Amino acid sequence: MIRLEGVCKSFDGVEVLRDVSFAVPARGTLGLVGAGGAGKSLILKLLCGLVRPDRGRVWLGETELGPLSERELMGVRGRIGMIFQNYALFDYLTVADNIGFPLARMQRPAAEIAARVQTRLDQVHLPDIGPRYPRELSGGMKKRVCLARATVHDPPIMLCDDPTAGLDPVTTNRIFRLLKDLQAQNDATAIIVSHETAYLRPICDAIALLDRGRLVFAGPTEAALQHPEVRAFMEAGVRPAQAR
Amino acid sequence: MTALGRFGGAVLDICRVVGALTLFCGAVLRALLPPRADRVETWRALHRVGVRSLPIVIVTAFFAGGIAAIQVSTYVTKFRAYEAVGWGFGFVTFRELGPLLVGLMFSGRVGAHNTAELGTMKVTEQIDALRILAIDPVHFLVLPRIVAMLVMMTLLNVIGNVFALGGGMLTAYAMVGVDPFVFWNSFTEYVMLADFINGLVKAAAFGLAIGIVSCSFGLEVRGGAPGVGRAVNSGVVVSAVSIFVLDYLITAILQ
Ligand SMILES: Nc1ncnc2c1ncn2[C@@H]1O[C@H](COP(=O)(O)OP(=O)(O)O)[C@@H](O)[C@H]1O
Ligand SMILES: [Mg+2]
Repeated sequence: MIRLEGVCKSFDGVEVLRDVSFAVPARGTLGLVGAGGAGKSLILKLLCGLVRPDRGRVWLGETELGPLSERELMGVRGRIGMIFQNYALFDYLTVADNIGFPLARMQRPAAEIAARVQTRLDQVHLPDIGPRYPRELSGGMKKRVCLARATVHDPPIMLCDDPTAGLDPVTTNRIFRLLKDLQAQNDATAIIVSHETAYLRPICDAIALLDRGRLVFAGPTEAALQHPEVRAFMEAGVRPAQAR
Repeated sequence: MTALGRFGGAVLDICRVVGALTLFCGAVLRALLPPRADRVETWRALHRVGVRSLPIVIVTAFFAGGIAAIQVSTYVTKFRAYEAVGWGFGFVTFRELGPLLVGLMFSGRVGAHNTAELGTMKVTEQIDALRILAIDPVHFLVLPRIVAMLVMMTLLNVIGNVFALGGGMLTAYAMVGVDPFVFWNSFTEYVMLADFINGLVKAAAFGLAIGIVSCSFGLEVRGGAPGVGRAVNSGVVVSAVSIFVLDYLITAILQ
């Protein structure tokens, strides 16, 4: 279960999240949508304790993050797989070492790491790029490598920040299916930030719409699609008036 | 008024830097209880720091030795005190010139590179990626680099001493006509272990300071690629200032 309650966050006096509350039940999938700069990425960072809220509370499973020290947070974070908006691949490591990194830290045997890395590379349809370095890849390829790294250790919580940015429609479709499969396989709880509303709708149990730091709506997908603002967003993408 | 304002601003800046460095040292010290530097990363850092700085240290030391020999020789030959050249040279180079110049070069080469590397990792969220994988950046990135710089700076100072000696002997012979044999005798006769150790203490302190400053400035980067450039710049300046301050203090204490 993932839960936010009354979360507020400001940077340099500018309020970027205002009283945000929502919950995702265990094994649920939440689609988090909203215009650029609405605060979607920030919410994901709050959920893994990379950023602490000014006010409000955050739960990950049964654990409330607020009172935890940085060292205690480390234990919680092992359960999270995060796909970063900007890939965040380690640029001094090859693609294969990047993907195997979480497993190497758990001191798994090299053969097992190699096998699991190759499985993920095949699943994201980049079977041959293991020996290459991130700087040699396109944005869409890096995104998929990031997905592979985020999920290689089968995390029970998946936070995906725009997992299909820079991908063609066919690959986009595949990636969403892969995310769904991995989630089912690991009984994971997931939040997916995406602008691909058409793909998002069928795989999410719930939708949350964020508008300039304020939560407009959060609830089951069917109910969300009845809500005029969510519906307008889901059907038209970013509303022209809010596009920045 | 504006001049006063600017002065006040500069004082505030200094306080901010000292404050940030103090906090950073606190974090590093906490990570030392118990010491848990990542072993693989430490070896990697040692290797890279060594490889990156060895050539520049050799060149710097050779010429520093040469310069010291010229300065000492021209003075000493006036009094025909040839047997003092090696002593004067060793005293100046081992105690002061060697560690100082090697430290400044080391800071420009290794320290600046380190700040840029960590800063880039910061702005491209690689540090966040580490933290999500339950890795403490201080254990994984900072401690190995500080250890590497401390160890390598000390080691390079020893290597630098050898090359400075070579540069000094060669220059004294070529420019002032001091017999290398006389030079060597005077050197071994009068230059004490204390001079050598004095330089070594300085080198170790400089290495530690460069490690702490360059890591701290790298991890504090804000504001994308331009922020990395600014951090590298400030890091080199602050490293240089700390080198001079430490040099002053150690010289005064180890009198
Ligand atoms: N570390 C930070 N420092 C300052 N401002 C930030 C920081 N993180 C996010 N913001 C601001 O918060 C707002 C929301 O950002 P973000 O969560 O990245 O939006 P998005 O919905 O596009 O992912 C933006 O205006 C951004 O400038
Ligand atoms: Mg974002």
